Amino acid sequence: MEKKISRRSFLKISGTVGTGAAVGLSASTSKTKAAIRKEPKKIEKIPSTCEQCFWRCGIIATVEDGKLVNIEGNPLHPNNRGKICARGNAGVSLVYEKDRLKNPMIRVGERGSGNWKEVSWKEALDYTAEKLLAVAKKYGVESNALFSHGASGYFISDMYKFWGSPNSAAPSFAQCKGSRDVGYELTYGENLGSPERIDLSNAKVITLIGSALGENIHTGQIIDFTDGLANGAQLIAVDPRFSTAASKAKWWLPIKPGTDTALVLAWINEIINQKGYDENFVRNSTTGFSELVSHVKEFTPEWAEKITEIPASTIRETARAMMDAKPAVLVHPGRHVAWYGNDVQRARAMAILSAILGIWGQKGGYFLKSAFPASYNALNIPDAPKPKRERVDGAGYRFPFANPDEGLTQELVKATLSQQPYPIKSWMVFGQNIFNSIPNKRDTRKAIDNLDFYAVVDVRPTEPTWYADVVLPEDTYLERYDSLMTVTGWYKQYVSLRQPVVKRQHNTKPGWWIAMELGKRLGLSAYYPYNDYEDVIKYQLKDSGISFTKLKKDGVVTFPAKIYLNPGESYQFKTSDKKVHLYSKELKDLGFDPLPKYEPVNDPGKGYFRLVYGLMPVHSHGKTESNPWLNTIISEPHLWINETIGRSMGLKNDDEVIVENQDGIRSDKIKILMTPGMRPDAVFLPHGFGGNDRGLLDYTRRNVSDNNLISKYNVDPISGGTGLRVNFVRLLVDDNPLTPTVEVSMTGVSATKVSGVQQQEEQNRTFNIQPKKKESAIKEGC
Amino acid sequence: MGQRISKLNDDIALDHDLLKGPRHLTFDEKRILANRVMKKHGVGGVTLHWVNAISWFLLIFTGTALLSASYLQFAPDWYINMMDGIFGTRSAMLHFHIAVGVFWVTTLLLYGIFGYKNYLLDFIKHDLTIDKDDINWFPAKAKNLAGKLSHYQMPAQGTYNAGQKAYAVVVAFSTVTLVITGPIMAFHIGSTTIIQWAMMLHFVATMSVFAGVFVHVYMAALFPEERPAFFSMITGKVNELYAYLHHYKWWKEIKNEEHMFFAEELKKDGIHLPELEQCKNIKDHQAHVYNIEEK
Amino acid sequence: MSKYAMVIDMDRCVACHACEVACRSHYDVPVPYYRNWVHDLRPEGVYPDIKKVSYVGLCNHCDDAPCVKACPTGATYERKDGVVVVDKDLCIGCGLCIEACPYGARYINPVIEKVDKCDFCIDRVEQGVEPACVATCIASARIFGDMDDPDSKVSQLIANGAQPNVSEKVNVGPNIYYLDSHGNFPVVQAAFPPKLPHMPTPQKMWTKVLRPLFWLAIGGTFLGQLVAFSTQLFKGESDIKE
Repeated sequence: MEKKISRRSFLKISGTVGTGAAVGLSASTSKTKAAIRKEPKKIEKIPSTCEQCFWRCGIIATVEDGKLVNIEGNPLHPNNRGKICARGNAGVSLVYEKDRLKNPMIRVGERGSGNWKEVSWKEALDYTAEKLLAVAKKYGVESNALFSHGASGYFISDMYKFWGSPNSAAPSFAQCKGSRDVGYELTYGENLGSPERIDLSNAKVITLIGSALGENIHTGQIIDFTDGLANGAQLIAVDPRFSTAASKAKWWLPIKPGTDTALVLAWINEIINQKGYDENFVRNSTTGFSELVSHVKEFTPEWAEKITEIPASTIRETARAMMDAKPAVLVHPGRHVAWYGNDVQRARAMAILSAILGIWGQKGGYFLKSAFPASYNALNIPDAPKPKRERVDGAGYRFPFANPDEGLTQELVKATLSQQPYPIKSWMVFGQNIFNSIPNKRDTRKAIDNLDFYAVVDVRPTEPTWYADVVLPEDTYLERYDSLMTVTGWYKQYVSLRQPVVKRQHNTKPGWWIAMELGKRLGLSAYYPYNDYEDVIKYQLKDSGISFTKLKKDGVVTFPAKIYLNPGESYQFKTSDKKVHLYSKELKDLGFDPLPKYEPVNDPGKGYFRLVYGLMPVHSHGKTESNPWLNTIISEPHLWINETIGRSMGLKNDDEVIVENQDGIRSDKIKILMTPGMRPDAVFLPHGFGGNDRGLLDYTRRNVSDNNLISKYNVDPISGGTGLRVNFVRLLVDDNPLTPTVEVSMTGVSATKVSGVQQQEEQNRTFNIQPKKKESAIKEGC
Repeated sequence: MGQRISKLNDDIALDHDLLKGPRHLTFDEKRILANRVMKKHGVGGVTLHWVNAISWFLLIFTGTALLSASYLQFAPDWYINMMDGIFGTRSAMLHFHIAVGVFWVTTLLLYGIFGYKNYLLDFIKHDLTIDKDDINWFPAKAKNLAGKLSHYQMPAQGTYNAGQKAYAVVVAFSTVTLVITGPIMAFHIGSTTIIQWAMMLHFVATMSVFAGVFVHVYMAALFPEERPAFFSMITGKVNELYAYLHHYKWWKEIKNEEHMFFAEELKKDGIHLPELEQCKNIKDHQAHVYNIEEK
Repeated sequence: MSKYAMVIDMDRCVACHACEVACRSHYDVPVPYYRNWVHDLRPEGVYPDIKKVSYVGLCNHCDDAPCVKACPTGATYERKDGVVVVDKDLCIGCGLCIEACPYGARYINPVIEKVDKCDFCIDRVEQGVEPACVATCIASARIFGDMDDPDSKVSQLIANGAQPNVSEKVNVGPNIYYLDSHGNFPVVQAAFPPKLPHMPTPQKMWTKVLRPLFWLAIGGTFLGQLVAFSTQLFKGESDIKE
């Protein structure tokens, strides 16, 4: 930016190059800032990859005299295109968060007593290895189990594989998107990956089933979602809660929780009846259509109305919208789908719906994954040994479609509790808040008592840290290298680098180093022919045609991707017969329903509400709650409850209630938020807050965690995924349970937000002085 | 020796006569008194006055230009623009204002700390306290200015006349206010409410002084009768005629001290002047009125 | 000449708060203050006509800015391009501008003990880069540009009905415009109406009572001296020796 750009030219380029220029501009060249902070001597701009959530956006960190001062989106990164969400921006604050784990610690008092001594890394690792080896010696290597999550979790799960223990699990499967991926794999032969290959920006109709885009923030997805809406996409938001997405929807369908499959089946029924499906695609690329037709015959909109409490007319209307817009209909596959324990079948229903609309490989539908044009050098290390004993969590056999790479956390907890089929005597928890992710935390807590050894590796002290025998503090994602992140299924293919942007602040170590050092102590030196992970990345890239220097400088290297099918081109699906399985023989053979069915849900009963939960836009899982920059925006969850119901119980907004579930488990006081935008039979509690740990976190918090109240859960027999929305709660004030004295039904009223939309059109008419110009103006902004 | 004593005798005789109370002077007496000088201000006082005066001058000239909000503005726009021009930027002007303020406050504090015995306490006790004469002085002065009262009929005054004293009291209070409120604003001490009140009090104090400064300057520099006071602020001295006519009580006090000093000194030489020794007895601070009847 | 303005596209905004945090990061805004905010409102209405609205706000860079008028030292001033900025060197932290601002856009930064607020990232803008909140906005809901350029996006959006947050009582020419086609903006206006500029007691006292009084006093003494001096001049000076 040597030459000052004139105002006029700035305005012309701002849409395209503006953000690019941001790279060259110091965050602190600002005079205003100079008044606050001294003019730095040295300003560095270092690109890396975010991990405030697992979307992994490209970021550019500004480091002034060695202090991280700012994080911006990397405009070159296809994932987020120069933008970055609140959490990504708040990474600065994570590095300097005062509650961080700063030194390795060994517990000296009773488990949970909070007595620790700070030790050197050598001492901590020697101690850990000694304990792990003792368990291996006494019970076998497989008796050592691992819970991991995140990019650096791969290093440690690899280490457990090298060692010969199959017992590692991440919540990303059973508590998140596992059932979705299984459902889509059973139908299409592949899942939609992460980031999901959904063409939101070009869709004409977007269907969100329980996906609260807007409160669930994945930057690239929100960019596409809002672009799609601005391009005129009609939104169908199926949610028992008036979510941010619902507020932007043409149709909000306040569905009775747990009945989504019935709705999807009715849509399929209506689309087939109206011949609104893509005949060509169904004929050429699918199998089992006739079975589907006869299967859904009885699932009429009228049938679904009774179940879902959504008027049949609305179901027809929305089905019509989808038919008319096909193939630019985006049925969002969801992400966290661990709802009722029959989630694979719901995912199947959604996959079938999108299949008959023929959206695969189409603009505005699901897009394609390409072959990555570069190949990396593989490290010359031995193959991991085949574990001597089967996994205890049943992934791959008891749960035939569970992904053994991710495992089933809740089953690992159960096996530790029962010590069956064989003892599990050590846990290592690596970057996962097992008390906030795995349901029924009492089981988790009890299981810890069965362990000979329990270690936690994390950045900040989460609840599980409190009981650990050894605490190993990890670098934040801004202080470490991780393995290359290669994404082939996106608008552009890319490889993204995570590199340290700032010198580590405390006596912490990167995940790869911890795994390597532990591995070496466990006799796995052959698997670690390196001392520095940067060398590994250089070696991997050496013959790939991707320059490490360029990657380090730009943070990301992109390749073009072919994401749509050519007209007339047919796609070779990765199923056995290269076709979409509307009818799943695979499921049939294993004794499951080959076509999705609606399984009735229980009613909560008088005075009880179904507990549903979800994200708040500034928090990720349980890992950002104590970040001061994010905590100041949303510091505690509010329990959403239907306004009329709440009033009938004598409640006012911001009143504090205690929430008690069907098992008598109680929360601390939680403030309530009353709104007409909540189903009368459910309450909504944002996830990622609270816990009943003391001690390590400096800032006090109340036990307002949704997971605390999720003591009951179902398990999907197909995937092993958990169903967490099966808990019923009632509200207590001064120990007295509250009972609603009115009945509220959302069925009686048409759920279509016609009034709002009409109003909007009228407004547009008055404002539309130059209607054409407006359209173009909005498009430019995208 | 004899000559000196004889001269002294003459002087003392006149003094003694005048010490009995103020009266009309003969031309000779006037001439004698006009040729004698008395020390009115020490070096400390003179320095302080001018440091104070210059500081005030600079502070008021920059301060009024800093008040640019319309509801506060005192000076005309052209003046503010001119000052902006002189200083280049407004913030330079503010920093100058603060720097001068800090200098001024420091000087006053040093004066207060190191000179509180020699200067400050004496000044407060001796020169700021008001007696009956002072109170009577105001109506008398009004009549005097209207030409209805000769100043021989005015209540006798001390080192400073009541008008000067009253102004000095205002200045003293304002000074304290400014010393407190200035730093509050300059260094953002306390909440916004405190700063807001400080701002208002700062202006009130400044304006209180500013309202009197014309009188002060005019009286001292231009008004013929008081002009010796102006020169006294440079030389530290006044002629005795002025002192006798305008500050009789002070003149008397100084004379008494002088006579007692002479008496002590002469005693060392073995000379006794009974008249001088009487001075002990006539040293008093009773109110004096010129015992001259107007014709 | 340019005149900068921002349009908030409420239809696009998903209330993710990225703008708020980006701003905090760029300007070291200490918690819990902000230069730039998203206030989330409870979803309200009558089923099924419910509105879930967030108020995205920042300094409105008003044409007739009450803060500029309130600032005693001229630290807050309006640039020629319409951007209202605070000269930190001049600010004495009196907070009068905070009381005057109808939008609550200002705060005292406790670190520097001076007032701080959005300056449209004017240093970035002058270098051809969008303001930080605009650059990070994942929904592209913030559009920044020049109103004097009829081809600019802000000009077009304003021409197409983007509205400033003004009321019958308070209209000080704000330059933040809200684009809304879901009837959400009236909800924001109802919940966050612009406040009437407020002047605290000491300043009111000064303006209403003390300043006139002092003018009178100063004028009086000055006039008195003038009379005395002219008399003196006309009469000629009589020497002290009567």
